Amino acid sequence: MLKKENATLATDIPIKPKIKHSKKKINLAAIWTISPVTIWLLLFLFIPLFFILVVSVMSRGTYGGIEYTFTLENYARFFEPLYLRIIVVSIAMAAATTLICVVFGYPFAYIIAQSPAKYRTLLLLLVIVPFWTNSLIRTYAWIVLLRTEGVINTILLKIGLIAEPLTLLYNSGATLIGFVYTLFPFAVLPLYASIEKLDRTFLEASSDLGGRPWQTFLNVTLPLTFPGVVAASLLVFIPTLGLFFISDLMGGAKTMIIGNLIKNQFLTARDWPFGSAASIILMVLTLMMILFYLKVSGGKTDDTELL
Amino acid sequence: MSVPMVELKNVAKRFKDFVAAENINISVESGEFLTLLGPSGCGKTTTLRMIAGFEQPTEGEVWVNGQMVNHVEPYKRDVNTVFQSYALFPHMSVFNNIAYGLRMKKVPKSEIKERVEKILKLVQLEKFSSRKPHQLSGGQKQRVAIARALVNNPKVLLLDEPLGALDLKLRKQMQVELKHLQQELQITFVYVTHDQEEALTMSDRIIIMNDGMIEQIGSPTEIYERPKTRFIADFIGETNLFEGAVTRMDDQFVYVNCASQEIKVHREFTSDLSDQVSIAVRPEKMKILPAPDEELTAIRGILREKIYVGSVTKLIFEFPNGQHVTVNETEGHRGMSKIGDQLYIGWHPKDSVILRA
Ligand SMILES: Nc1ncnc2c1ncn2[C@@H]1O[C@H](COP(=O)(O)OP(=O)(O)O)[C@@H](O)[C@H]1O
Ligand SMILES: [Mg+2]
Repeated sequence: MLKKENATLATDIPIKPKIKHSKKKINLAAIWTISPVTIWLLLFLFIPLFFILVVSVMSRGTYGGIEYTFTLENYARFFEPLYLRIIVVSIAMAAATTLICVVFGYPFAYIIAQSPAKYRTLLLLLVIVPFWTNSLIRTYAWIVLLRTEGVINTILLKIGLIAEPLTLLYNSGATLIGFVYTLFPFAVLPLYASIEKLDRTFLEASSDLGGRPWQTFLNVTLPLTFPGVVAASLLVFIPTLGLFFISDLMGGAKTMIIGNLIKNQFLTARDWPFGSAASIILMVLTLMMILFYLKVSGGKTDDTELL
Repeated sequence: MSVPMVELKNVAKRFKDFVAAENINISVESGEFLTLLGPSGCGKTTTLRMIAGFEQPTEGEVWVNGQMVNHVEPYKRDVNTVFQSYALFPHMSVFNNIAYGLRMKKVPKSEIKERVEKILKLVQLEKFSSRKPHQLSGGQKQRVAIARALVNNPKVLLLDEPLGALDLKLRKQMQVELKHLQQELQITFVYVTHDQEEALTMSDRIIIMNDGMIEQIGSPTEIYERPKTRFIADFIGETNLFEGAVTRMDDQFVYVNCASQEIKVHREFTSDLSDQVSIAVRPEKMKILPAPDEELTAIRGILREKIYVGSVTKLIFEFPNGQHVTVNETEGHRGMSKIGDQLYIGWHPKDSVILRA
């Protein structure tokens, strides 16, 4: 059956056109169009980055300045248990935040994507609205809610559910609440984008072939929206590592994350070289995550084992 | 008589106050190739989706294999669909796409492998089993879509314009393939198309739909030769339509005054009789006559245009009342007339039908 058609397949594959413009022309045009971007990146990203990199391999001066002698001491310090712990706690906190945001964000985004078109914009707007107030103010609002004489404790005491006020603030649980609250929209938006884009015919095809709703979800919906899940994870995970003011204010500075460490080195300990090294390590971590994302979203997976 | 495989009883589907389908009564026999044919937007897909279970009828009942399925979820129905867009899962290989339905039903692994390989062979795609859909040509995707549905041994296969995205040559080839497949496997096909030629070629029976309603149900021959409405006569193939008033009738014929002449049509070919009617005659049933003929109905016309379309030459005549008709030039008449000639156009009364004007 249809042998001829198989034979024509080769011609179906588009042959990559070999464009051979004169090199000079392309370079000039390219430089012109990207020059604002190049200058921007150079001034505000690469040069500062280069300074940080340089400072991170310098020694700390006796009174907090920078002594220009090369050392890898700042990086070596991360293998001290104190700092290793901060890295581990940071990653654990970021992972927990990511998990919570994605697990709750997915159904949230799903419901928005499935709702009638006329409500969708409104629902999305409601997700975004918190961005319109300063995040510091929103964090203080949480403190008002959670502290010992705060709104929640007062109400619970009044209605007699508890006899003693609960310690809701200044622990890692409070920090987690702060992180999740701040970063939740960052999870919902990419999840929404990928779910909304999903062609409903695939879901019908699955159902047509005998897939029950949860089978369809696991075998079709989830894999096809997986890039959205990864994007959401990154958009939550990466900023969490740097949200020092939340762990400062809500965690009572008990849960140190890399962000706090960096801030402290620059502002309190006045150890710029060590702060720079911490920044570089944070950036390397971030970069690794992004590379992972590119790998996952670029390569198409094939789940041979269907559920 | 056996239980129909698919039955729609007085089905209607409304989206808010828009009527997509109404008064749908269809009965599909087991092993039949039934086609829903009609112009775009006439409600074919909607009807098919109600059989598959993706849409709930607003009114009426859908039956599959003797069971009322109005409230049965699509994943529990014994029907499978070949989607117009194929809807192959982009993240799965050809093998996994085809195995999907069997896996959902928890068929043992060894049996899945066996059945998928057998169907891959049937559609000649053995070598492509590990490819992803985006690595296939249109025709190959099409066959994967058919294989993915057929591997489940459905009682009924629903096909929504399955060949619509293919080029003409491949489409013709696939029409034959599909028809053979259907005859070989003895599966009931409900096939949707807006291509009348495709419907005439493949179907056992055709249902003509227009504006959400069924206009006629019949075999391809019946539909082509005895269209019941003007819409069908116009939609299927080429046809010459003349309007006129009924003057009288006897036991055998109805007489219509048309082009200042009385034309007779067999009474049995009259589907709807009112004062004003249309007479439909296919171009290939018309002959050019040197003189009026006792047997045939004949009208004198002036040859206005000759159109060469490859397989035939179409001659356009003008009747005295200004009406234009198309006649296919016969082998015997080739090249014998020229523009401006006055000739008789004749046809046998059995080759014409009367329709509502
Ligand atoms: N979900 C829907 N909501 C509103 N109108 C619809 C919907 N689905 C189909 N329609 C309308 O119903 C009519 C018939 O559609 P359809 O069955 O797809 O036609 P066909 O397949 O014959 O081209 C069209 O006018 C279409 O716009
Ligand atoms: Mg359609």
